[in-house]
Amino acid sequence: MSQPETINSTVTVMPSRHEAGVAELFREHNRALVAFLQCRLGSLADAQELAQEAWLRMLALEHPEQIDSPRAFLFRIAGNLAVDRLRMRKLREAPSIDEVPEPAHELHLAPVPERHAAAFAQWRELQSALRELPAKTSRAFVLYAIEGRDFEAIAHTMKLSARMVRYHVTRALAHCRARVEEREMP
Amino acid sequence: MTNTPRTFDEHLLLEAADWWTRLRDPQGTGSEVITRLWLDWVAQDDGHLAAFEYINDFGERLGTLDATARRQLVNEFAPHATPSRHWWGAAAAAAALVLAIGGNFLLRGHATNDGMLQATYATVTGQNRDIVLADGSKVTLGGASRLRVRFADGKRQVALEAGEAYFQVAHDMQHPFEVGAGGITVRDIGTAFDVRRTDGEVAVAVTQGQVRVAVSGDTARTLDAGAEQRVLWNATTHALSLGTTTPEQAAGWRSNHLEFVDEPLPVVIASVNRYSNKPVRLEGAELAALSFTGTVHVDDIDGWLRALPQVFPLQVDTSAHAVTLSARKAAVQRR
Repeated sequence: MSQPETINSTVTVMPSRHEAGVAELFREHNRALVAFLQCRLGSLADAQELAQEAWLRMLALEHPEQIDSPRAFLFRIAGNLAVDRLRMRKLREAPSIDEVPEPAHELHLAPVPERHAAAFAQWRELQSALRELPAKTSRAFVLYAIEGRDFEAIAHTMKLSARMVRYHVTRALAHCRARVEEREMP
Repeated sequence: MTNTPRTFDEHLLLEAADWWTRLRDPQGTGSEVITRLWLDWVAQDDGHLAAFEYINDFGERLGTLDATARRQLVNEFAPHATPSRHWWGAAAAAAALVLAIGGNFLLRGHATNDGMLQATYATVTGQNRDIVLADGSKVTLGGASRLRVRFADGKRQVALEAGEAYFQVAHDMQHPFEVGAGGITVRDIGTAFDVRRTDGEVAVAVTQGQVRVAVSGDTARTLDAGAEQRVLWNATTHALSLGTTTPEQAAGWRSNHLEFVDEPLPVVIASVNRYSNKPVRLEGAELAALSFTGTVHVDDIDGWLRALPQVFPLQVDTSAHAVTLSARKAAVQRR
């Protein structure tokens, strides 16, 4: 990042030129930007909204000529917006899993009412995909993706390194993704 | 977009999943580098972003599972270790509720029927927070810090996973209060003290009472410290040392000024970074050897950085997203 890039010799940059630059950046990177935000936020709708916001901020920059890598800057803005959004969510979060009463034992086998059949089927697929995995792998994945713990916390619980936890979560994610898809298709 | 009839080969899916977990990892350091590497990967092949979106879509669906479904998955694949029956009893459930309402920055709270109580608190850069734990102990959590609390089996255990925290511990001889931090455990006997973690060291500064600092996994190595004393743990050399401190040095950060007395510049910068809106980077080994004495006001970090070249032989370079401190070039060699 510190290597010399194209140097702006002009003192002021014409706004139109900056806008053109942003437009090009948009064409090239908007899809990745939305994907990046969706990954962070777990919501495509939120991702699209924040991407919009990030582009507006790019356009509103007062000294765009001072930015050496607009792409890096764009993703930095987006990253910060995502952090803010996640923090806001925490404040008005729906009851977390911990506040939901533990179901009685028999409930495990009972069909769960008031749920769309499709979602239920999907959950079943997920459950059987997880059963195909080594215990450690499914455990790390459930703690991460379902309980919402972070890698370090899981590392602590499972007495593994955070790197290993991420490895297990990655494997489970790819496996479940493939499995759920497979059975979804008739 | 949903149910796109597409299949991806196993290897590509694994790669996409790998990026997905990488990009979500909140351990901020190097996250911009990760983003850049991810963008390079995306640019490599058209199929890459598609595979990533495919994983993304699944990740989102996981998040929409309802609470009962989630609970059942947790029960089957990640059941909690069953804690033994103990004294905390029914109070825990009530306490968890208080935590959930009072601690709006609580990441996760958990109380089981038999009284185990767990919670994690975290702050973002530039933010201090006050917490009251279930036993009445008070904690101020510094910027960019994380604290995990676990009250179970008659013990009050907290782990400072990152950053800095100041503890005012409720007196309870029956149930020891322990703070774990990067290789050491601090055990109190009714006290107020500060614990600060930076890359290679942990500093425990006592303002009241007495603590015992033990090296994790080596119970024979302990050091006791009383008021205005400070224990320093060097994670590299595994050395425990005792020094002195002042209340200002121990907890000035709670009123927005960071006090340092003869501390290594990297430690100072790591602390400042928990309050700085732009990351400050130190370049070069010669700067790491410098030590700093003075005060940094968290609302004027820029001013402090600007003044640094007057004290140290270094130069400050500010870019859009970082501040770099590097050794001043020997520009005045021939004069």
